[in-house]
Amino acid sequence: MKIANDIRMSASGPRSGIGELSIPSNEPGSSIMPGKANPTQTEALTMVCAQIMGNDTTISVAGSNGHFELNVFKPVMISALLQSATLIADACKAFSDYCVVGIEPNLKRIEENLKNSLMLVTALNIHIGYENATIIVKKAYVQKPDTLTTFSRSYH
Amino acid sequence: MNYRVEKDTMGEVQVPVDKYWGAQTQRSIMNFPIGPAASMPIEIIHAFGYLKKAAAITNNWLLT
Repeated sequence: MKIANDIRMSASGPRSGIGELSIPSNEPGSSIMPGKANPTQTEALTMVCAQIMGNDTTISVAGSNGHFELNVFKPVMISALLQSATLIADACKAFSDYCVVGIEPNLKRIEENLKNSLMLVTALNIHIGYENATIIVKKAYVQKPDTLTTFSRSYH
Repeated sequence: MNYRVEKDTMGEVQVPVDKYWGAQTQRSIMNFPIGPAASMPIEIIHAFGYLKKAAAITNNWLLT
């Protein structure tokens, strides 16, 4: 669930998202928005994860329902477990074949996001102190140049 | 099995001649081999039939 969602969000965009990854387009696109490519494999995999979490709850409840010396809930436990195993196996294979194999990094976008990140200032903490670093990052945020450019202007 | 050719903006796709669905459904069958085949409940397929009919009637009504 986490890995699929991280890939989905890293691949958001191209214009107003994070856009650091490209994932394969396996369909013509959104049925509402022309040209929009949907992260359909991550959508399918996270749906499978939701089903499996539900099955896990089923198994927990079933397992807790032994009365005296007998638990008669094994059929529903086995059914839920086998469904989970089948779904996760199928979904991982589809996710690998139709998404993971085609993932590409957008190096240009990654570099832009990295250079523009205000949080680069964290690396300056040990050199100039937390308070000076805070002043620089606030200046960089308002004045727009990236953090390290603001730093070099302030200190040279 | 015999196939007919359906098209969408990605190109052509082969659909078995005895099926009514189009290109996108055929692509979904190929892209999501997850769980047992044909495991979408028939009630959902029927519900989409009602939904599409209602949308068609409403759109027609709004145009006239």
